[in-house]
Amino acid sequence: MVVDDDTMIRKLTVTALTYCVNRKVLSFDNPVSALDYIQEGNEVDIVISDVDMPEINGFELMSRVKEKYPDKIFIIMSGVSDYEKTSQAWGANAFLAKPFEINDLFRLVQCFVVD
Amino acid sequence: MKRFGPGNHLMRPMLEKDIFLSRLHLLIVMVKAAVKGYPIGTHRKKAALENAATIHKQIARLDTSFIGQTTSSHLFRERVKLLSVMAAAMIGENYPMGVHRREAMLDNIQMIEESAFPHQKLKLFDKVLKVA
Repeated sequence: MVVDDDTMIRKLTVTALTYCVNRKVLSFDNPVSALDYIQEGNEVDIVISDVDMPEINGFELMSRVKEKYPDKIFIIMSGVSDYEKTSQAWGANAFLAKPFEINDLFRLVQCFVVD
Repeated sequence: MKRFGPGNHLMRPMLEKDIFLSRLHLLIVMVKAAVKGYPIGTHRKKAALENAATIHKQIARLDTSFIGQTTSSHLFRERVKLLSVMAAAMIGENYPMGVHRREAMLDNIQMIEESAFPHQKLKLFDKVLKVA
């Protein structure tokens, strides 16, 4: 699942990940809808979320998801370097720095899906 | 915690140019992988067609001054458009790929790579591409 309010980045990430895993990749433009979807019990393996979004931010989304599903893989993506330490402190499985390249998404899939 | 992406000193918001180059990189990988015979499942095919169509639209209005002096903007645009059409025909429609078409496609990719990714090797992630 990809959560980002920036349409161009969200669509790019979804296209690249769909190609990598050859499966449908869900996306949400706001964290509240993403959280509702997860809390309804729908199966989601990995969440990749931006931080600065309306209503609740990516860290809060991660916190609420991890509270209920501690084993769910949660990846924070951001172009703000200070958020890397916060991601670690809040229990993210990975940090994807922006501007990322396609190779970074392939590495991410290799790490969390293939290996 | 694992980390992906550029170092802290290179971090910044993603611009339209970054997104275009990422999509172009992805399209090149998609075509090279298809030429090499990696499996193309339903979702991969859909992703490839969506990517080719987006690039075709984006290149028409994008300021391509970032490609430098290696080729003219017009030529670069036309090469990218050609790649997107070739990719859609090859991956989406399964049109036959003879020796000459394949050669023309790889030549076109090489020219695009030299202009858009002069210092970067676009590698294929074998373990990922095998999964379908």
